[in-house]
Amino acid sequence: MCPVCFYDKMPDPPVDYNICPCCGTEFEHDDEVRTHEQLRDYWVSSGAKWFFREPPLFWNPWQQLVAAGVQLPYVATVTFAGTSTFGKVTAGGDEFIASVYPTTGEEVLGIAA
Amino acid sequence: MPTLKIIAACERVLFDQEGPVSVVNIFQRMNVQLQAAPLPDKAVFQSLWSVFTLWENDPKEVGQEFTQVIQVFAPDGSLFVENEWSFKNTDADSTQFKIRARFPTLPIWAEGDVIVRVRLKNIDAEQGSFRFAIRYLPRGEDAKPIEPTKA
Repeated sequence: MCPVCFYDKMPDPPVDYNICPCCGTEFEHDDEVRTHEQLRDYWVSSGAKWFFREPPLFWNPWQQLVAAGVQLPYVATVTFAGTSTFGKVTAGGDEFIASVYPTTGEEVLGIAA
Repeated sequence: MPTLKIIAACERVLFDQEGPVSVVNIFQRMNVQLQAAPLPDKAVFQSLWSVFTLWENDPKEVGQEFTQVIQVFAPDGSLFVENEWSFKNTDADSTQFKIRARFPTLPIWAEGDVIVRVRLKNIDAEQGSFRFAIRYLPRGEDAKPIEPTKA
């Protein structure tokens, strides 16, 4: 696994001038003068783009960082919203079966920070 | 061939040990409130969510294995993630098969509909789909208290 971007399918170990196809770090060269965290910050602040040719199917840099436990560089609050509903469900004539209660409107799921 | 009876994207699916299943918070719309700069390309929101599917078995197909394929399309139309799950009816008296596919993040890099499509592998037809909306709120609109992410 790349210790900079946490791409877990590096074809070669992150040593001996091998280059991560994801973030482009050349190991034992780039990380001679910068820490892995500094290199990661630079990669992230540059948009976390895939480095070599085309990225793998379903590759997502932010998902990759989330899986590694890295705090995402952007902040957004996501709330769960629905349409408030109220009604009575009946079968046949007026035979009452159940009520459908209004939702609370929105519930906070959490925050990505 | 099994028939898809229910598909729903939701916050979580609870499986009771005795068999019953509960689907919690079926998704309808996600409001995304930006806190600072615009979201970067391919931005995701870290929140575990699920897709629940309920298949009705054909008793004549006992022992035959099928593979459910779930594809999640981001609001910009791109394929975000794919999930496969094989299932087999081993009992002719068992009429249902319930599957929970879990995903760690939501695609929020664009506004629009997230579409979840379900098909059976090697069968060239969509069995069902479910959609929910991603909507951006301007900062300050519908402000809510913020809680930490629950993984």
